Amino acid sequence: MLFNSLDFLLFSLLFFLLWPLFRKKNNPRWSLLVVASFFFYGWWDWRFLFLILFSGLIDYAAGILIVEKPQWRQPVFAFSLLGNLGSLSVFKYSTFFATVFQDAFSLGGVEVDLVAKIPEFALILPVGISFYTFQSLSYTIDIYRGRLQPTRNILHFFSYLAMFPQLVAGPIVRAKDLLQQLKTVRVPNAQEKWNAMKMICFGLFQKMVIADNLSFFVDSAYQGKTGFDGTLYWWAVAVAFSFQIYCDFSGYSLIARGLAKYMGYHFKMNFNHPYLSTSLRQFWNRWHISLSTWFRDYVYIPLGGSRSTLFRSVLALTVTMLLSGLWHGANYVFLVWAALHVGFLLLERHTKWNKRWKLSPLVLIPLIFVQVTVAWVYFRATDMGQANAIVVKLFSFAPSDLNFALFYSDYLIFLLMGIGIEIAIYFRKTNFSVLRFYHRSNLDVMLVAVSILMSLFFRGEGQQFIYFQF
Amino acid sequence: MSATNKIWASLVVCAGLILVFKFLFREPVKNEQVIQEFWIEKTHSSQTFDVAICGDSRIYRGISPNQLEETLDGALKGINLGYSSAGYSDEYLDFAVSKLDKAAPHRILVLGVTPHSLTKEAFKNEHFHSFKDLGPFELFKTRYLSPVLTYFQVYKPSNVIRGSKETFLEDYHEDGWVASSRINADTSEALASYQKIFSGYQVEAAEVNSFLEKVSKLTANGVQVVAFRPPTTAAMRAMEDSLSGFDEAFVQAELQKRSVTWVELRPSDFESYDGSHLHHNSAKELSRIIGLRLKELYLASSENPKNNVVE
Repeated sequence: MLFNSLDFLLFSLLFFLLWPLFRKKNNPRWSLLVVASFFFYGWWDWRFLFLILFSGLIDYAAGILIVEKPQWRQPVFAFSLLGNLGSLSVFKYSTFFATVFQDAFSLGGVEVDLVAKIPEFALILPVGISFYTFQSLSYTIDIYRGRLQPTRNILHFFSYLAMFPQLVAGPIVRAKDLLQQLKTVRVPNAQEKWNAMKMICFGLFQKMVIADNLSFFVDSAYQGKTGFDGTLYWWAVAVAFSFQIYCDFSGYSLIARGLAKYMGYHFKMNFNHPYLSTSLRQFWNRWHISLSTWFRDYVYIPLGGSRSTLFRSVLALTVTMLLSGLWHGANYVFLVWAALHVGFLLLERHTKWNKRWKLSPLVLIPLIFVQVTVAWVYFRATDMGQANAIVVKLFSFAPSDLNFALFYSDYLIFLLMGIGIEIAIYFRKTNFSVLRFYHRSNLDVMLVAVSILMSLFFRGEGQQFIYFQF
Repeated sequence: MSATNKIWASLVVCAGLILVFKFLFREPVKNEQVIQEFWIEKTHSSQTFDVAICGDSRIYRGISPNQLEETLDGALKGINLGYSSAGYSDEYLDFAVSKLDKAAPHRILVLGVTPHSLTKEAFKNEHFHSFKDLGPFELFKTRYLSPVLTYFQVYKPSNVIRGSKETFLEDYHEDGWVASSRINADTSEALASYQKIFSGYQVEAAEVNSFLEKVSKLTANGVQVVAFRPPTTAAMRAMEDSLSGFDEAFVQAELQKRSVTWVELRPSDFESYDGSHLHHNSAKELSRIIGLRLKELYLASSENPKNNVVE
């Protein structure tokens, strides 16, 4: 069920009608959450429910066993890792691994068709599998590390794991943050309701107006459905994709946070205007924060982080980023996307060019944005050949037929809008008089009204959220 | 302003903005909701007919059942069941037959046989399936919430800035026909895309045989079948004959062996706006010609001459 659908509107109306009746006591509250969340998830395909149940039951049992049977904690923990990563491997990576082996055999002169041998069920990618698997994993890891006490109540556990606002595209919420919240009854006050409304309206605007309108322009370029070409054209496409993926994912996160807030729960910020970053390091502290911190806590720091030897820190960064690349998709292009970020990050860390050159933020922000945008080309491309060809075009100074701007004006206007909003936010963050004007004139009231109007009348072609595939 | 007041103020301002917006700006020419409703009704309506007209976009833009009925003096009731890139798979033909009135004296299928409709890609019938496979909730939404959804139809910035200036005009009719035309028509427009299609895949024996076998079964079961090749520009026809692998003479002869009436048409009698699809005036003319042929075949008491060139 998509947040930007009539189905979800009806579903959420019903849910929030029932919520005040159920929220007073733990078991009824958790029961409603679990039933609603499973209904929400099963709306795509009821068979997906078996997988989340499988993954969840393993970790629910593992959590209890790790604490109650200390002598079994290691094998139980290993079993939990195997179960979660195993199901992720089967459903998400089987084709990729088969392709990698095929390519490796092919290099040795042996031709095998392993992809054809993959069972049909493994070719289906359950929506949001990477999100709930990571959420489930963090629960067991935290218990194993002694940082969390397991819950004995299975409804409590599945309320955490399957909670519908964040189930399919995050934010990845940690058990230590949410399990405790789920035990309490919090009725949101008027300010929280207003904040929730803003988040939902701005999130829908980002997704339906900016991201969905840009998708037509971006898709027609990447699918070769247009005759336009040249450097300027491909920069427009690349920048449009940067804003499409940002608004798509940030929009989802905002809606998820708004829905949770309306229920009385708090999810941490997942995007903090990453394209206003003045360093790539800062970008990663602002982009998909819940995933970045997950990798930081469970991969990067255990591998040594940045405070060990040069070799260890480079290794930790490389492994973390490559895993992050693989998390996003089972394709070589995601590995290259991650590798580019590793390269840019190492360059930045060891030359400190962004600090040494003493550049104004108004210069640094576009420089960082260009790095991110070039890397996104690999993220969006269907294969390496396409990505390489586009990157060559970006830097070849080939002439462009500027009529593309006119031809796609109905879509590019939303790119300008997206850029304009980020610039306005930059000045609101850095200029106190702008911030004061924003608050004194109650501009947020007008912005909420306009975002609803725009989402109703200027929504793009309804599309799935990009991050559902991860 | 308090948070509660802000919530109410934003809703009131939003309602006001919506009213002002709808007052100031004309409805866009292309209403996606109406289009969606058109396809869903075509696919899921329980109504039955005497004549089901099948084929791809050349058919749903090219034949008006209302015009056909007029030519038949209302003696037969028809529906256009064309879908984009439709192919003559068993499933699609069974669907078409299911729309025929079992109790009617005549159960007639009119098939527009384009080269593309006999390709493997067309047999996937993706456009048809996108509506056929919709769940009950999707159908409910389109059928019963349509007035609300229509009010909130999508605008493009150009609708607001320059007014609605669509150059491609489409009029969706309840009988399944999409009357189409283009301002500043370019009769070579579709050539390149069809060239690209047929450089990727062609008509193959498997699909042709499957189609012929299915037609045999249908005619054996009492379904009367009339077929023709939808008219296009001469350039399009020549290109398809050379690239698509479609052997019209063979298909025509094999269909005739299976008691199918093949209607010959003179492409030069029709006008296309893009080289592939008929202008709505020509679509009416084609419908009239097919109607006359059906009248001659099934409503006149005289002999049923087949394979004549329609004058």
